[in-house]
Amino acid sequence: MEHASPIGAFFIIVFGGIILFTLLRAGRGFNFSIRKIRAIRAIDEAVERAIESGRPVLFTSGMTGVGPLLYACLGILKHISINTARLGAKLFAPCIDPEVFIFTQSTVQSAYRLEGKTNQYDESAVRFLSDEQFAYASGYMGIAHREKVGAAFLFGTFAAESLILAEAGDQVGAMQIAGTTSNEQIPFFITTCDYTLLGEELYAAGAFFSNDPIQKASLRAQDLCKLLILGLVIVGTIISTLGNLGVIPDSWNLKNLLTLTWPKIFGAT
Amino acid sequence: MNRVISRRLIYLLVIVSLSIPLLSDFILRPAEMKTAEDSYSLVQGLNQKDGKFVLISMDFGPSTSAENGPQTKTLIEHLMRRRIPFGVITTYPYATPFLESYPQQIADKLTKELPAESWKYGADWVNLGFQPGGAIMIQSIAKAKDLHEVLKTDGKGTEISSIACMTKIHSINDISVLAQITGLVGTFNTWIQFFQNNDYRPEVIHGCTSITIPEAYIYYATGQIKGLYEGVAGAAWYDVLLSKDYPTRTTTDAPRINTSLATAHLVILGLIILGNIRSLVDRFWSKS
Amino acid sequence: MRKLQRIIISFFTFIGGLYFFLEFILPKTIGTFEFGAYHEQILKGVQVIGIMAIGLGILSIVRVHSKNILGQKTGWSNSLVLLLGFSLMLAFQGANFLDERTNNSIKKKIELEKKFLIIVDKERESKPVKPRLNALASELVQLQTELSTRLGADDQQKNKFDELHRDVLGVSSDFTEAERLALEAKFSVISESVSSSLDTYLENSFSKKAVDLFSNGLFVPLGSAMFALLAFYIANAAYRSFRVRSVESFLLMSAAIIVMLGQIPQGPMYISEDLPYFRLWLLKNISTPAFRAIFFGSSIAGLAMAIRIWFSLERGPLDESEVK
Repeated sequence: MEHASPIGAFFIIVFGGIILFTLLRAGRGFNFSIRKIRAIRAIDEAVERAIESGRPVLFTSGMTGVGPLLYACLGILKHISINTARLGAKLFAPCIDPEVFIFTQSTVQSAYRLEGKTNQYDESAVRFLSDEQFAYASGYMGIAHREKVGAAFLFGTFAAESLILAEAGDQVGAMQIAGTTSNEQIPFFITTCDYTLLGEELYAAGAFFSNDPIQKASLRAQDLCKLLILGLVIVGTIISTLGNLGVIPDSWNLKNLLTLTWPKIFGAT
Repeated sequence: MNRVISRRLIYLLVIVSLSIPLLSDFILRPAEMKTAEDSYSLVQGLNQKDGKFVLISMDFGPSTSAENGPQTKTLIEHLMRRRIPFGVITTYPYATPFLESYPQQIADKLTKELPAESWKYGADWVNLGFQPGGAIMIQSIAKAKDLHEVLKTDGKGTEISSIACMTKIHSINDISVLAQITGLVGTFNTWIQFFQNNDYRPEVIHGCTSITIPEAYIYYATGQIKGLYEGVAGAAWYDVLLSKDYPTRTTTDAPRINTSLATAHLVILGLIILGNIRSLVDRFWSKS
Repeated sequence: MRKLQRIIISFFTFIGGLYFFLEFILPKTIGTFEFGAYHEQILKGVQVIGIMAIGLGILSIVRVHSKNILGQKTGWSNSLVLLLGFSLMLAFQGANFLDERTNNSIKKKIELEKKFLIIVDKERESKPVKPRLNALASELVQLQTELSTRLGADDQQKNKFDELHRDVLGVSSDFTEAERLALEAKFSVISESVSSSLDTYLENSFSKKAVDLFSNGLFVPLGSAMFALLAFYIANAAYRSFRVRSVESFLLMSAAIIVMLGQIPQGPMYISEDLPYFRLWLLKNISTPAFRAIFFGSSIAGLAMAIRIWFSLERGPLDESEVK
């Protein structure tokens, strides 16, 4: 649908309102605590291991386009870049999308600038390989094998090439950490990577690294929204069940509410 | 060293298990697929005389053509046999050779089987070509007051208004079914979201690769898609249903590819069981 | 200065986000006002900005690989092959594009000339017929010359053009409907014949063959071969990693086996005919809710991230004032 239905608009405003309210609370000093996710803590461990073995670090955001997910992936990349700049490790960040390439380049550059190591920044560290899925995968494999990377990070959206990328890292003995919102690729990462972040845990990674109260509040807000969804599922199940049993009248039918359109509310336009 | 040897042996087993059915006549009857049956019933229930049209969006390239190709061919064959006019279109540039070749291949096959009948480009189908723009293009087609203004020409540059099967097709309301066949991620969601207007949405059949079956079920369970080809297994069962209603036909590649994949599945299952037995034995020895 | 820069960026980010938010939330029309009247044009503008990035991507490829070649680094010959292939494909594709454009312009000219007959007929009251048809006849001569230059001498086609040329010049001053229909029919015949000849010319042209060789002969099989690697990697990963070590993994493995066996012919054939139905039940009632749950989670997370970006509530990865 190109425009929200009334119920869609209602839910967007409710969820958006919950998120905004929680973020504003954090802005006023309210601090939230979040549980530790082992995979996120392992990111620093992976970079350190790569440095100890004198091998470079490889990062990819897969097929992620410009959007909120890329922002989350770049947050992780910034943290990794700061560590590699500080500890003197080599970083490779090949890209599949030219727009993402620009963002990735700026992120890595700004990380090196923050650490005062601009002279160590290598322009060829961030490169555009190809916008074709398997051409990109073969380029990534080439980098992994030639450079014998010690740590590989795969965060973002992936398609069929996910297993090829992960196997390449596994074949050179790299420690691999992956995170994706592409549900069908999760099994491949779980079997080939040391740690995997599922779905929204990827978005949570940024909050861990930055220790920013706003980002922690965002995680809290997401949990509240999910609780609300859970509540709606339970209420909907009860109403549907009672409706099927004939206990409640037909006018309570949820389908009427969910398929409501603006012309029905305001009269035909 | 052990691991290197066993990896090569695994690769060899996979090659052998995939090749034998493909190279021989070893074909097994596919498993029943209710989702493919739903697709079949939907097409079977279409009325040739209502003047409507089926739009097939072939958004796949050569890499997934092994699964998506048989799905498309069985669907096109069914539509051609029932004399339901259809158009083929794509939002993926690498699908353009298939837009030209698949319908013509099926038309030639049917003409050979039924020499008294013929199937002609323009009368029975139209190739609407590669349409760039993704979601914007899909919305333009869905919102168009006259499709002839939006699409203008077919894939070869001929004006749409001069093509026989398109003369009565002017808007989305004249499209009874959208068959969206893809191996790409995100394409199907875009079609589902945007290929509708306020008053009307065509019925949707989706053909997907095996990896995206669980995601497709989300839409199937809610009724947003009426029929589903679950990888090549779905195409193979559709092929069986076609052969039931049209016994003189020759089958497509679907059952052969399905058998080959099935053999490889069994090999992988065997490897998993072997791996678990080995790990149990290793644990037992290390304890003792 | 940096603060002002941030304020300006935040302001435009907010306005941009506000537009897209309102365009989606509001109904298509409110009375006679349509908020998203120019939405398609705005989206195309966003796409155009994105396309500019392709130039930067190409620059990156050329820069990295040129450095390898000029510095004679390890694997420089691979870089040379890449740049050579890139240049050749660009050249051939460009030539093919020009060939196609020329073909289409010739086809369009014939269609326009055919439509011109209808215009001449409609405007006969205000504009004289004969001079216009004479002009059309000379256009036909030019078109025929252009075609023979492109396709080479073709007596059959030349005869058709000559015949049409004679008929156009020989039209009576009344320009009856019968004459018009006859001319249109001849135009249609020529149009079909010319289209077919031009298509054949393009199919046999060097640029098309070169593009086909690179694209269908090299690029497509390479992509398919890379895709085929997955079959081997899946088998290897499955053997290496699928271990039953807990109750949960046992349940997972059992479900996977049922789904796999329910999909292949051997399952219903040798084990149980009901396997496909167990498989369908598992996919519809266990797998689908799990996928939906992950979707909910990642969608809400995406919404939260989008709100933070929209209101510029967080220091992003490009911000250099990040606190350590």
